[in-house]
Amino acid sequence: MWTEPKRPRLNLAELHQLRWLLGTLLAALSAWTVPDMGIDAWGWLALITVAAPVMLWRPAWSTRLPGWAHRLAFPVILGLAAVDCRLDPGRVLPALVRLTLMLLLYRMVTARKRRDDLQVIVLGLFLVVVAGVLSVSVVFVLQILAFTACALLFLLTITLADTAGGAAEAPAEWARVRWLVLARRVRAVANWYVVLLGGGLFVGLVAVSSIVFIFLPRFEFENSLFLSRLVQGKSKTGFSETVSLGAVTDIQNDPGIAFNVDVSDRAQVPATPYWRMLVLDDYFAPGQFRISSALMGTLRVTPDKTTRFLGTERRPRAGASTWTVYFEPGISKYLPLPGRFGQLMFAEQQEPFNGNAELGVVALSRPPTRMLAYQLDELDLTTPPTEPVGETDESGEPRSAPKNPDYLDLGLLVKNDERTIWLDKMTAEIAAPMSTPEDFARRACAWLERRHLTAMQVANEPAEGLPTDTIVRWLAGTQPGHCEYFAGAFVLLARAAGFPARMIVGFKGGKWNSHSENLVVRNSDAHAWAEIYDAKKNAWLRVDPTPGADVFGSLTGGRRGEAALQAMTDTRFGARFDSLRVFWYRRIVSFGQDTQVRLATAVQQVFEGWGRGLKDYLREKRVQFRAWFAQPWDWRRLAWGAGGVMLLLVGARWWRTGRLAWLRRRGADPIRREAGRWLARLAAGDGADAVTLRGSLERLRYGAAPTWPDPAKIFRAARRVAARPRAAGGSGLASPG
Amino acid sequence: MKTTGEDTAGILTWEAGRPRSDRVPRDGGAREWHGPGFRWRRRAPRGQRWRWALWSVLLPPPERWRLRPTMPGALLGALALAIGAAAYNTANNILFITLSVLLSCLLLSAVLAWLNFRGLRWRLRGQATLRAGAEDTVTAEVRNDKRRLPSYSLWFELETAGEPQRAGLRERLDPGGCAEIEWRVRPVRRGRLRLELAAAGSVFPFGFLRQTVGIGQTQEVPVWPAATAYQWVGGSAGWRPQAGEQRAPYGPRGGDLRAVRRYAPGDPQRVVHWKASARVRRLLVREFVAEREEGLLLWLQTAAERWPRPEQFELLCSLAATLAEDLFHAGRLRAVAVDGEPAATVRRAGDVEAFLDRLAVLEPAAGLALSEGAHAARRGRMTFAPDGARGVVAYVDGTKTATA
Repeated sequence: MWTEPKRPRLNLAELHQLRWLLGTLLAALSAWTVPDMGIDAWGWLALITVAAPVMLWRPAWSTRLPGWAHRLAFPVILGLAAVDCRLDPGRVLPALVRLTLMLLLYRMVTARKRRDDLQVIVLGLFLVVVAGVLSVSVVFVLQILAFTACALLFLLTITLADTAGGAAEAPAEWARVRWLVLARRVRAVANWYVVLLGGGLFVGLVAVSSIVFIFLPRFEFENSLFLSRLVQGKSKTGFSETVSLGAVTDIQNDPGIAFNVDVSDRAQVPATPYWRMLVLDDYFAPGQFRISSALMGTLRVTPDKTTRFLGTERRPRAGASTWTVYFEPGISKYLPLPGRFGQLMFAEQQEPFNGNAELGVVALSRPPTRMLAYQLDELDLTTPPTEPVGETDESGEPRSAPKNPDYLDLGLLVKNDERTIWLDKMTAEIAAPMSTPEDFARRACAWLERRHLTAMQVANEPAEGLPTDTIVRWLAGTQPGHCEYFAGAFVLLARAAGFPARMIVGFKGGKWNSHSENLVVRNSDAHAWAEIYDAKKNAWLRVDPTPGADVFGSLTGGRRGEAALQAMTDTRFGARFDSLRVFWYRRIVSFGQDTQVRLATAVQQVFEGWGRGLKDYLREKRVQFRAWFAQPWDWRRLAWGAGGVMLLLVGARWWRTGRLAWLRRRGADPIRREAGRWLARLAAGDGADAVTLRGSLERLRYGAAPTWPDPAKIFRAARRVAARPRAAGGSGLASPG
Repeated sequence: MKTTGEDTAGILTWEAGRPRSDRVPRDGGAREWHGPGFRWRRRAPRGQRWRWALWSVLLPPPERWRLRPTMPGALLGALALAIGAAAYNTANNILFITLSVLLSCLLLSAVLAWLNFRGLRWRLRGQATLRAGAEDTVTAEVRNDKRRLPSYSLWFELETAGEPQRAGLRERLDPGGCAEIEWRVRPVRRGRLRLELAAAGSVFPFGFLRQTVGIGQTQEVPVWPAATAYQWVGGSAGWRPQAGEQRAPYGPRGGDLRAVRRYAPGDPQRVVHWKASARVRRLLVREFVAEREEGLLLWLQTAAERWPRPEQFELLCSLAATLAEDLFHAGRLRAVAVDGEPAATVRRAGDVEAFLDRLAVLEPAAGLALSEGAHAARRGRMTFAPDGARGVVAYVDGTKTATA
């Protein structure tokens, strides 16, 4: 076998070197998706990260592993996986991921055959997909695209190496690789046209994938994803049932996005939205708040898996305000809620969870391991939370007046206790005589602001002569503090003054992303504030005692709508990238059957619109032409008409001759081709005219152009001969096209 | 080898620049260039193309383009099925994205496979003859008519007597480039061997799909009888070529110059009498005494009554073929004849090859009388007869000359 090479070619050893490079890159790339899963596998990840460059530097080491090591490798790996499962029972997925990493590491450090290369691809795909499913992150798009490109190149190299080498083993010199030399060789071998075509085809692949994704028929079986149950989600300590002072402030150090919010009614957005997550009513130890068991008992458990949780039980009205929250994983199992809602809808079915709409708390069964989307219908940002009323009569009115809940008995504050003495002294200083909760809140916040500044770091060490309780000691002094100190202090002061109060943790504020037109709330917006109970109104009033904040947290007043959004607009350059994440959540992650139907309807409408437009346009042109034609003719109009006819004739002439000349220049004479096709069709025909015709066709097919008969006549004759049997009821001869 | 020109209709004029290509192909069809999809287009009648296409999905004709998954392709398919099942079960869009990417990869693979085959042309090189028991090379030519794109990882399948053999291109076939693919063929017996360039295929680009294009280009090649060892016992009755002796099939036949005669087609150039030709302005050749007087007529009598055992008849054919070649190389073969047919004069190698072609398909003639026949009276005739149950003996004018 011989060929005429025009460009250099990669030899077998170079193809194997390229294969080694791509396989190692693919393994490392897929291994680095594991951090997105939130699975603890840093040790294996570090080993893979070290092994990748080392094995690229010295590929020869991969062949030096003794045979007994290969024989022992799989039993050892399986043994390690078994031990892993044993040490962490009930968590199959982390063990499976660590097993995959071990296998990848083994394949990275040993010489691979074709079967092993395919194993690397399958293992890598498993990691990428699991990471995508668990994180639902926009990074998944980059990961899957990089993985696909790398895997396709890898497979291409494997195919070429297999073709070049046949069944032979890789030549020994493949391990003596010099990457710079190889890079130069690849550059010399690369054909720019092929490279461009490859790039274009990859872009095409992405486009086709998008189209397939959009048009894949969807049948929603309403099943939650099994993988999510195999991993345990994490939550930040500031948003768990027990919160120590400083835990929320720690969250503020994280600039990551906590959740994105799509708002249907921009006019409703307040300048400073408060996102309640957790109500902490029990000050059970110095500096530590928790949700009491009594309050926890008010959370109703949904009976079964569901996507819907009713709030005020008002059915959503058409055009009602709807906010969609895309809650990031790893924050909390308590959902951020900006106010009262009529209905809470999840994008996917959830395991049974707890919630109380009046309390304004919804707690999932466990922290979500991936982005959780939920929609709040009939959102009401102005009505404060209420205490659940007792029995009601037929008209819905409570039979008895609301009373202070039991869990507000303030048993914590014992008479003549050190804390009580200190707090009594302070409340006397704040407000005398006691009036309404609102009045007390205003005075208490002003008192706190006078004595304390805000600071992220608090120096609140025990000292002689000061109270032992952390918050009371801080109150007694004048040190600066953060939001939790202010909120905790206010709760204690209010309770000492006889007003039920509780601490709330969640988020405050956020930014408006004008690119994607949504609210972005970051972990740095984590905040703690307080609520004070107004028995007359049966309402928990929001009180934000942190200096600089509106005391009642803009519950009813403050800027709203466009003015608020303008003040909140995120002007950073990074806002553009944040908008990509929202696009991902809106258009990709939330894509479903309904979206598909809407999209199909929209496409249909667009095409119908185009069709109507075209029809109208043609009709209009026809009318215009007829009107123009009906007008009296003069020389000018005649000249225009003649010009148009000439143009048509020139176009027809070009189609007849110019196009043929162009085809001939490209080496594809259409007359010869047509003659060839007719020859093939008429090969079986007999009779004198068929024989004569074949002679003429052969002349057209093979003869020199000057000796040709008139091609049009010959082809017409060929058509007649071909049609003859058909007309006679035979099978007929097809046109050669 | 190189292409010298191409008519604009796509039929190539192939110039054979190497000795192998000097042979005239016995089968004109084998010289025709084929490419992917040619046959199907030809056979689908007008108005029935959709029906053809639909039926060909269910019952694909052998020459159709076929895509079959390889083991990695089947694995990918299973993976796509599993991911698709999980995607539909959970309505998870990440899984739908993965499924879309996998399906698109399969599609891309099919598109690249189509591009890889596009513009390829192939043909079996005209194979002159084969000899039974001897290994020979069968060659196919493949060219890439694409302007810019190379083709990779091609293999071709040659079927000989129902046995497929696969040979592949290990290198890239550049745009406009040509390549030869060779198979080693060893026919078992004489006759006519059907060579079929059955299929072309590739697993390019990703090894997911094995695409095969049926070709079905056939060529019938005569298989000459196997060369056989024989013992020359004729002494002066004939001439036995000695081992290592230089054979000059196209040279002067030896002996004294008898006459100068007009050139006849087939006369070797070396016997042209250039001076005499120049003088009379006509091509003249020298005729030697030995050519006229000492040559032998190799006369084969194939009556079935004489050759009842097939293996003995095979030996007859082998001995006759071997002797014909040896005598021709020694310049002692004047003519050949089979049974009562007129003797065919042997002037050049082509005449011997024609005789060997005849031997390739020769069968015992039933009902033929065991008479001396038309050439009985001629001098210098070599005849054959059975020698016992297995052997064959050759006689020159009744004198035992060679045995096998």
